[in-house]
Amino acid sequence: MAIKDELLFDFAINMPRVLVSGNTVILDNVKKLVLLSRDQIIVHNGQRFTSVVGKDLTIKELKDERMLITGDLEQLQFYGTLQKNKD
Amino acid sequence: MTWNNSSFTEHYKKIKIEGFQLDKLIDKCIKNRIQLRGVTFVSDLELTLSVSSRDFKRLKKMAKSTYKITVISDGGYGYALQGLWKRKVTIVGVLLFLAFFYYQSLFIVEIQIDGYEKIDEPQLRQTLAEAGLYEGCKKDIDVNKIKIKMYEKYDEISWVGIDFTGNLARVTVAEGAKPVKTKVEDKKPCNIVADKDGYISKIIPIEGVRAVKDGAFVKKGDILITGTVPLRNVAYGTDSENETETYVHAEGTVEAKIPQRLNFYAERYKRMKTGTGKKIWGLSFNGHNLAKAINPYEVCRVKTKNLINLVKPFRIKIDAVTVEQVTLSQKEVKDEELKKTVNAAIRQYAKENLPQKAQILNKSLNFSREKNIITIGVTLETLQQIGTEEEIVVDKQDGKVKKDNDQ
Repeated sequence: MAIKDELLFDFAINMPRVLVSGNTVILDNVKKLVLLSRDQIIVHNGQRFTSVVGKDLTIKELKDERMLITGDLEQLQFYGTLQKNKD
Repeated sequence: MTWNNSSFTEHYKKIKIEGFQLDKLIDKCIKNRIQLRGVTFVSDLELTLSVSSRDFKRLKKMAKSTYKITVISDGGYGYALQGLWKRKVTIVGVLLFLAFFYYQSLFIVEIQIDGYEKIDEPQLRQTLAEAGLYEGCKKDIDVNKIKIKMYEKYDEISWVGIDFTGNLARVTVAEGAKPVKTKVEDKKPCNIVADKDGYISKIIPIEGVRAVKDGAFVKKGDILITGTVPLRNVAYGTDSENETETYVHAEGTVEAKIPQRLNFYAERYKRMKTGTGKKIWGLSFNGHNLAKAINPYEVCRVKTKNLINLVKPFRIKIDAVTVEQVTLSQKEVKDEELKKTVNAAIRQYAKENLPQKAQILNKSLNFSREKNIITIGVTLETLQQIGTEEEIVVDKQDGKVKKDNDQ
C-alpha cells in the first residue's frame, strides 16, 4: 500500500472503516446510528453510511466510536449522500 | 467525557428498554459517549443491554419517560463486594474458617518413623510421646530435647533426625550395634567376687578355691571363689619354701541370702464418694469442659466418655461429660486390705528390681499407724546369685597381682 493510501486509511475519520471476520464485524468511525433492528444495522460515518444485513444481529460492544456486531452476516453495503440532499 | 472501562467492570447493570424508536436512544448514547455492551433485540419494541452503573443514571435521564427501563440484573466486582459486605455473617464465617485453617496448621497431625530395625515402632512412638512429640501436639517443640530422650532410652540408636513437612513430622532413626558387655575370656585367670552384700547360702566351685564359708556375711567386692591356686613342690629333696601359686579361671555358683528393708505408705482412712443422684451433662471440646466450668455442686464426680477424637484434617476431641454431685465419707482401712495392696506392691518391686532367678524366701510385714498414714515396714529375704567374674592381672615385672573388674 502506498503511503498516501495508508495515511488516508488512518486519518479518514469520516469514512467507513470495516473489519469483517467470520460472524463478527467491527465498524469504526460510527458517528450516528440510523437504523437498528434484529436484521439490519445502518450507521452514519460522517460522509457515508454503512449497512450490515444479517440475522440475529447483536451489538456486543459500543464504545469509542466503534461498534462490534455479531450474528449471521449476509450483506455489507455502503451508501453515499446526494449533493443536492446535502444542501 | 472519556470512555471509562474500569467503571464497567466495577459495577454494571443489565437492563431491558421498551419503547418506540429504540435506535434513537442508542444514537444518543453514541453522542454522549455512553459505553454499551450486549445490545440484543428481543422484539422491535424491546431490547436488552448492559451499561455501567455510572452511565445508567445518564441513560435514564436521556430516556426520560419515552422509554421504560427495567433493571434485570447487576454485576461487577464492586457490586459483588458490596453484596458481600451486606452479608456480615458470611464474612465472619470465612474469617473463622481461615483462622481455623491456620490454627490447625500449628499442630502435628501425623508422625512417620523410618529407619528402625530392631526396635518396635509402638515403642518408639511411646518414647516420642513421652518426650512431647505426639499426634496433636504443637509444632514449636524442642527437637533437641526429643533427640536426647531417644539417645538416652535406646543405646542402639546412633542417630535421630526429626523434620517437619507441613503437619507431618518425619522421624528417621539409624540403629547401630548394641554395646555388648565383655566377659572375662574363658582362659584368662579371674576370681569370682560378690556383686552385693549378703549371707552366703551355697557355693559350688567348678574351678578355683572356695574363699568363704556358708553362712558368712560378705560385702560387695569380696572374693568368693579365688582363681589364685597355691602350688607346693612335693618332689623329694626340694625345699618347702619353693611354694608358688598358679592362676586359673575361677568358675562356680554362689547363692546368698540378701535381707532388704522396704517401706510402703498407705492412707489410714479410705474416702468414699456416694452419688446423690443430681447430675448435669455437657460436652468438652479439646479439653475445654463447659459443664465442669459451670458446675454448681460443691463436691462432685466428673465422668467423661469420648465421642470424637480426630487429628485429621485438624485436631478435634469431643467428650460427653457428666458432673454428678457426691457426698464424702471415710472409713478406716483394714489390715487384710492393706496386706493385699502391699503384697501386690512387693511383687511389682520384685519384678522391677530383682534379678529373674531371685527367690523370695521370707517376708514380714509390720504396720505402724500414725494420724492419717499407715507405714508398712517390709523385711524381705531373697535368695540371689551374687558371683561375678573379676580378672586377675599379674604384673610380670613386680610379680604383683592387680585386679581389674570387667563387669
